[in-house]
Amino acid sequence: MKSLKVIKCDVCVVGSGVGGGPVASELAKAGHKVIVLEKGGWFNEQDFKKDEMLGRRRVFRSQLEDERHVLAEPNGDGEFEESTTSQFWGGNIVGGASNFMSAYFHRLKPQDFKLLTTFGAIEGANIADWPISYEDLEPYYTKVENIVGVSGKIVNHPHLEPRSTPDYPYPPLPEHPIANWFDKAANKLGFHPLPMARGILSRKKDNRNPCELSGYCGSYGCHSGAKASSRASLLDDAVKGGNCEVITHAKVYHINTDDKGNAISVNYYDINGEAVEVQAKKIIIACYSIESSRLLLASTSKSHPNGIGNQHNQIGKNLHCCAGGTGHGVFDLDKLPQDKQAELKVRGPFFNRALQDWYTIDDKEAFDKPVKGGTIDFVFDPPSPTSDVMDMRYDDGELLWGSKLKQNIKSKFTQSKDFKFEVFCDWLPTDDCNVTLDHYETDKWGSPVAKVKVGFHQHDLKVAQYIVDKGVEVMKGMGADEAYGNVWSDPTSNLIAGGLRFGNDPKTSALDVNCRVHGTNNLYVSDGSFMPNGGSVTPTFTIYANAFRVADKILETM
Amino acid sequence: MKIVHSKSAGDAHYLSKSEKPQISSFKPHWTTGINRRDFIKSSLAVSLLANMAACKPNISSNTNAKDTTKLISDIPTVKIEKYTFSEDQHLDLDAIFMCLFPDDGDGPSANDLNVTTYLEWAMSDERNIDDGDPEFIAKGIGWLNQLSNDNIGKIFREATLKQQNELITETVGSEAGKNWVSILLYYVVEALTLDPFYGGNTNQVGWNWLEHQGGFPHPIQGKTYRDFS
Repeated sequence: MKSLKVIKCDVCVVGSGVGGGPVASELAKAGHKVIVLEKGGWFNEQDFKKDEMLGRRRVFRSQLEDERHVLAEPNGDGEFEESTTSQFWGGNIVGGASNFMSAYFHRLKPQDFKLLTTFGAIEGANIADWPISYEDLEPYYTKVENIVGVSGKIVNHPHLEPRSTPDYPYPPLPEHPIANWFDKAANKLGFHPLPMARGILSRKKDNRNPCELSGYCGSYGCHSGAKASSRASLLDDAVKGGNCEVITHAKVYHINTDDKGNAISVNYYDINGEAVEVQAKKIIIACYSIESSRLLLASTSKSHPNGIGNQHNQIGKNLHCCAGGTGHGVFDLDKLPQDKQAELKVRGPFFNRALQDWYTIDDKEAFDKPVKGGTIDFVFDPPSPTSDVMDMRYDDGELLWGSKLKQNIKSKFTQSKDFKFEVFCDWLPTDDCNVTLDHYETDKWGSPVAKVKVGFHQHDLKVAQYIVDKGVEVMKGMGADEAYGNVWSDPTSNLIAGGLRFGNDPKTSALDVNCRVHGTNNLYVSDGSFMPNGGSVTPTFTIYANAFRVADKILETM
Repeated sequence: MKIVHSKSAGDAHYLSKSEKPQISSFKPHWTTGINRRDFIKSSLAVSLLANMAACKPNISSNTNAKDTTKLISDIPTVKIEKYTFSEDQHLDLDAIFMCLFPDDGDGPSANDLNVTTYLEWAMSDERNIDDGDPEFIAKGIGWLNQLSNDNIGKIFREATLKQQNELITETVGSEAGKNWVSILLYYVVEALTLDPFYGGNTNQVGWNWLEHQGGFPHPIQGKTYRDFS
């Protein structure tokens, strides 16, 4: 029988995204031998062309036929309907989904850490305060701003979170003329328009070039290195430093533990499907919320018969997506003077505006007490002309062709401009949103896939609708000829967190305050799994910050 | 269990299965009512097709029978190793595409977009092959020509523009015909909007018409979506 290949190191990090990158980088910098296991391949700026086909074919992402999730969604009749999906795979490459993020980098606010204390319980929701405060994480937000690079400009507003520095280290990115329209409209409505911070460089940092302003951001990989992916901003340098090795095409399938329940190694399948064992003193899991829960659940042993850290059935619980909605403002160009038309047609600079006036909603007409609200980000969707036109082949179910189709396409692209906003609110954790192992589906390596149940709380929809209405109001104030918005009840494919909530009580949490798995002394989770709630912003910035915090906590034990 | 595709905040659209008609919905009204996949696999259907082709002496039933290099444009950036369609089918496709995306004085036509050549290249894509598109398109050409012969006594490409429009209108009147035309439009749209590197959108004529600014850098040799797939 062929013996298992064994590799030894000080620290093994599973996953190379925003959860894994900081830990690997910091521990390697401190002189420890670090191995990062990444399921995907290594790609860099030279590979990232502005090619819509890369996204349409899900290149750099896992394919449904290889790996999938079972998705259980509420069907409206009180039951859940199951399907299989690949929508949750954000980036199957070094750096993970951060290669394809839009990088809206908002910090959380102090009340996000004390949701229960500040706003009280909500029936049917598992709301909990965090075991740390905003003040504990603030230095790490600042560290992220400097190390991975955040651009923006601080302006004072009623919900501005406390900061230890006066402003971001990088100036704001060039702005689209529409931002000026937005500021005027928002001010007139009595709102507080904010320049939005982005994890995108506005000037050169070491080997990374500033944004090239192609207008193809979002789901496109970054060609200049400006986008703060974990690979571009951390792992490139970590590997050059000599103490960090990234092993690609390494699919981790089991964490091994000793008789005391502590982690001793992980097993992975290499590119040839051969099993390899990596033994390490510290093991850090950062595979994205769903997959981290899945790996812990799958890692059964004598000391952890129900999965590692699952002695109180907390693994996979309290997952949360991002609640909210989206809206549009459509401007008819032929109703505008030439100069205004020209402004709307500009491509390249960013919209980069946000409103946080309703981060806490205190409106007796809508809610009988103050409730946690959300953020509106006014943004551009990354261009996807092929997808846009595909949808136009049909009109009310009728197939269009010939000149009629051509006229519709031409009109959509040249007669109007569509601007978008996205609303982000808390997706309240409930007993109906969680990760378990599916009993039937397996991936291409033969491991049970994760079953993701995505029940939502009705409160989320009410909050989201309140804020979506504000976004529509702003679009109308900007002069949009058509303005509308909708709330989400479906899960977003990205921005999922939780599942391994951190806390002080092992009976109600999976991780301790330092994100170490309860019941172990050397197994940590450093992705977004730890979050009891996601905050009313995209969570990436906070995941980065907490991962740097976890790195410090691990270093204290070494 | 169904397959779903969902939204992604701040993200671009992925290729949705709904962009192509579901194979199981294909049911040619001039066949015996079996679905597309069954139709292709069925020996009965094969023999029906063979009979159909035999009725049309000008239409080749062997899709790789001839070297058609001279009939389609060169694509300097991507290489077509092997043609899927015959010389006759290229001529048929040219006519069909010009009907679907005509030279009407407003923007590029299918010919301007190099759609037939683009289609040839797209037919070498494993995903499109797995979807059954090469067979489906080839067979549909035969069916359209049969319909044309039945209606006006000549094949589609020999019909007048008015007759061609009437034939397409009749074709999309059935669910099966609608699916087939929809597949062809799928490739017209790709030829209109994808990077010129892939053979359509010649000199960015599609993007220019739509006042769309393509991204930079463009795909290059060795860094296309197929190289990474």
